[in-house]
Amino acid sequence: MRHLKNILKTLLGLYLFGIVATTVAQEADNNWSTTLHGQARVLSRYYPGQNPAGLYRWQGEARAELEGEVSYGKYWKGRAVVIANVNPDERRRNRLWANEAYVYYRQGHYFLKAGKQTVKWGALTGFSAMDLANRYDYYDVLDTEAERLGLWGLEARYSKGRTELMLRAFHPDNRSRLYLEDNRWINLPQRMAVPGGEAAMAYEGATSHYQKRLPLLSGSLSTEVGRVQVRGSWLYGNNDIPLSQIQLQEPMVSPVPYEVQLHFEPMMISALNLGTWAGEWNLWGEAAFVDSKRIGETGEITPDQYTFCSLGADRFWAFEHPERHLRLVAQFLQVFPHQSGTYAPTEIDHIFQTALLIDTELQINYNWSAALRAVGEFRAEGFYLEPRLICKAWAPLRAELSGGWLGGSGQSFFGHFKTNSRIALHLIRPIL
Amino acid sequence: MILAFTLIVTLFSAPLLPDAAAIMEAHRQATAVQDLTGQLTYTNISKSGRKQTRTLQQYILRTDKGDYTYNLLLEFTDPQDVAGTATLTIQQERKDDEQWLYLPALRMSKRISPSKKSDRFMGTEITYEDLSGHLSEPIDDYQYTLLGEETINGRSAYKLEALPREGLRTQYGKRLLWIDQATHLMVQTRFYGHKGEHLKTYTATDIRPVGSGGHHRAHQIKMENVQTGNTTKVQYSGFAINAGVDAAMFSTTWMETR
Repeated sequence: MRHLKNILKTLLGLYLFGIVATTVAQEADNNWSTTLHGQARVLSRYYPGQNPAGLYRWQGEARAELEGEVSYGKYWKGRAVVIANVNPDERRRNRLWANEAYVYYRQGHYFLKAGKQTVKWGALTGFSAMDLANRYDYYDVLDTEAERLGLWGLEARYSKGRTELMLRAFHPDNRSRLYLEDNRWINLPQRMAVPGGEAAMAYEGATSHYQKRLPLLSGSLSTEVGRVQVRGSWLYGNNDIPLSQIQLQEPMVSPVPYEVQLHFEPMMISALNLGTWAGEWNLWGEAAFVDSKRIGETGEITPDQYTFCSLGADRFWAFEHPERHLRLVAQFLQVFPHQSGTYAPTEIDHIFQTALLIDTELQINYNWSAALRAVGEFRAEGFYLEPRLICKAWAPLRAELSGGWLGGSGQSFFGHFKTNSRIALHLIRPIL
Repeated sequence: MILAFTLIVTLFSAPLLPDAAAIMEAHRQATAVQDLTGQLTYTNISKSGRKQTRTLQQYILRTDKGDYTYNLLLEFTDPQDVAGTATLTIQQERKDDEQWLYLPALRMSKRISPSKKSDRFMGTEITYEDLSGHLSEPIDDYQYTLLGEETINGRSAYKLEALPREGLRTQYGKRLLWIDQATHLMVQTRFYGHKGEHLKTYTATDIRPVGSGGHHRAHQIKMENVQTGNTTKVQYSGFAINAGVDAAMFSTTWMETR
């Protein structure tokens, strides 16, 4: 009942915000213009497998997103996105926040955007090494697309012809949102080995540690040479995925209390992207150098440098049947570590080592589509299959039924978290 | 003497039809614009009655590369699962168009393989070749013959046959055109394949003046695919012609920073 009240209060707030924004814009002179729209989403997720720690098997969430835009004259525009999220079973997900709130100025070749803004760092049709810097709410590690978090900072672009220079700077405190406790994607230790057996452990909290509080800085230069699109990108800042070390508080107490120290270490990524086409296939690739840190085999923080290469292709097929089409994206990724050792399955930055990613969608008719996302990780021997059935028969409602099957060796991310295989139902509808 | 007089009266009283070239030149002048913006909503209707509706904002600017080439920026605004998707097309005279696609989920624009002229535009029954012709009929590429006059949807129209000139790459072997006598806009077109089969029929209605420059535009068009039974209906609104469009809009930077 309390959650229902929360939902109603949030929706009422969004509605009032909409009325105020529209009225203000109408009262002002005609240099101003506004747009306002939003959507409501309901997600229901069920995990058939029991988590080793006995965590939740059922998750239900409701979300309302309201997006407002205000333009002034030809050059100025402002945008805000307010999100209300309600999860009856998970209080940490009950939030109302402005995920984006920025203004931008554009004139001729120049563009400047300031404020809170969501950023996708990679500029590749598939997964880019630059995407390691994306900031998400990691409540679910696989469903992150709708969980991109806004960052406070600046973006500046200068473009001339088909060449563009882009510079970005963001505040150091822009971090991903992690859930250390009671989360199916993080296994906090519950027992430790001691001489003669095992001892129970008790989590006492987490502390954040920085070698330096670095702003997130990036630059990119893109151009076209003939029919080849070329982009060079560089990024430097703190990795938002911290390295964790266990600090025992009082080893003689039972259960042994411990703290998790989260180390946010510097990370630098340099990437070169190329894109072109052959026939009806779009072809693209990336070579990137990543200079990061990881926890070494003896527990100390050590350098983690690697070269990240990928090749991809995508194509769209329109069939004789006028309602039917197929979209396919395929990408092969290969990581070349510069030091020896193997990556643990829980190192989120190393989910892909030698991997094939497929993303395809078949529109059967205007009402129904079938889609598949698939990952085959060959080095760590894991896989992920996500078939989806999408229904628009009751438009504007969109319903999506999906399965997520994780499997393979326990040395891979996908095998390690195979109890997180799930079935999900998404319902999405515009509300304004 | 009486016979000669009757013949002269008949000749001079018969309406003098302009020649086909003059009609097509008048049509080209009526459709030629420096720039055009507006909103359009299209609905694809399948043979079995299923519908797909999309709304988008269009920005069109004539290029400096030739009379028949335009820059087109199309931005989807509804429904929400495609809102924000945008395509940029730089038409090239006698060459494949250059195209870029912006997908909001990827937050990037990318150059894509050029569409073939016979490809359907955004899943509609309108092909890229139809779209080019809709913006500006390439009158040098066709041989036109005036077939007479007919009334189409209450409007008096010239009926012409358009045959492609030798060597022209086109999906159509023949088109029959009906050009409105008052506005010189196309009010109906029948498209035929190279074997003479009837492929599609285009109809334009709700022709109204746009702005103060003497331009008219059809606010509703329909393309019926006779072969498949599919239909695309397009409803236009908010037309602005030659009101000035910023050339900087036709860039990948603009698509990525809207």
